[in-house]
Amino acid sequence: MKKQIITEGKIYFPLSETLKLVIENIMKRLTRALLTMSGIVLSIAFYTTLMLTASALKYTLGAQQVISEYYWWMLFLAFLVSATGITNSVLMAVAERVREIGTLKCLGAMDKHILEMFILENAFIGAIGGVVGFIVGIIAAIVLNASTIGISSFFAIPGIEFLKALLSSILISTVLSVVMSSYPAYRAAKLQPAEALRSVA
Amino acid sequence: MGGEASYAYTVEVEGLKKYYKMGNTIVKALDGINMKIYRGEYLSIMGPSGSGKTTLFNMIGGLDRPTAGKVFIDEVDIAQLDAYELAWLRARKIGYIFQTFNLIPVMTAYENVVLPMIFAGVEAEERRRRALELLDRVGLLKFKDHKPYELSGGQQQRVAIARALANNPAIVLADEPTGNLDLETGMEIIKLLKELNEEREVTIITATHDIKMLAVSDRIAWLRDGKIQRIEKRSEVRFKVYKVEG
Repeated sequence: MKKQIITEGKIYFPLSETLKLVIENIMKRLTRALLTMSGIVLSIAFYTTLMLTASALKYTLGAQQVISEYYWWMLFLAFLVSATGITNSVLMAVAERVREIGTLKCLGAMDKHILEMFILENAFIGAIGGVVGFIVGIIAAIVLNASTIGISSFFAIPGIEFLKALLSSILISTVLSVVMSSYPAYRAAKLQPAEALRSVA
Repeated sequence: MGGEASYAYTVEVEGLKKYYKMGNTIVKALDGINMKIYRGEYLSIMGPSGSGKTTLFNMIGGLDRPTAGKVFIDEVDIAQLDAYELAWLRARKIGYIFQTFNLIPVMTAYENVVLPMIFAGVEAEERRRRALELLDRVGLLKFKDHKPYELSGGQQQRVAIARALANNPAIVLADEPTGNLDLETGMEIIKLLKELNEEREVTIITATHDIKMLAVSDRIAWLRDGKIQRIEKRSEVRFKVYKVEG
């Protein structure tokens, strides 16, 4: 019979612990998190501005197709730039933490735990970026349109439209962040501990 | 740990080779290593830089895969282990200590010691009890809430030692544990490792070129160019100062 190495106990990393580590990582490396977030904030702010301006015009003037195609293309480009920015920034974050990943693996972390950690971290960054982007977007919408359609027109927008804009902002930013960070997170998870510990970062 | 405690060797290395390809040349980091390490002994792998110490350390610790040959830990060929078993081995069977300490920078000393116990599924109350006991043992109880950057090199290494022992491993692997420390602090760390070796009957394997380590080692394996030149007991080591390499 093949001899077994495992004599007792098991290996696991509960989600609550991953969450704790993720939050500490974000807090302690706030500059890095903010850098990743900045692209998201800007693109979501642009998105919110467009959505709310469209709503304001719809509810005050009854206009339907008020945002020209040009702006939608701009929005698409903004998301594209933000998406590549996330991947780039998370790749840097992984490079900075290679040795730490190696250490975690020596302590018993499996590939999936490392993957989980990075994905969760970026889901958070994405969601927070979505909320901040939404707030910035509202301010931008009001400031930019104050002289043309007036601030009062924004009061005409029903609350449900704001809620819709907020929820879609969070959804888009979270999904974008998770999808774009999955490749760097996968690379981090696959690191061989010996190789990771050799790094001088 | 387990019922195989009667077995005399905890680590067996057979015909271990590790070759790296660098351009067109093949670098033989390890070139046919054979050794048996007794349960509970303090073994130092001595050799100059580039002799393959760290490579051997990584192979014994299941951190890297050999080109050829086998490593057995408690009679189990570790090349046969799946990802889960390997994680178990790293978490519970082996404790690792590094030259660069490698504490998790966002965590306090206490949290660093607790971390491997989380992976091993130790209950919260027991984690707390063991972490405080270990920090007390290495003399850092009052620094438990300090982050690594608030600690000196020697203190960080003490935390790393406490962390390595958290899951009561059978083996502690230390790669140049004194390499980044001054003479006196290095001595203290070596003394601590020896005491823990005796108190806990844990096998300690160090890869080092620190001759201070000779004084506490049960056996010394002299490594050179990826080959073991000889393995000798401490009593057999003869000093010829002009031949000692660093």
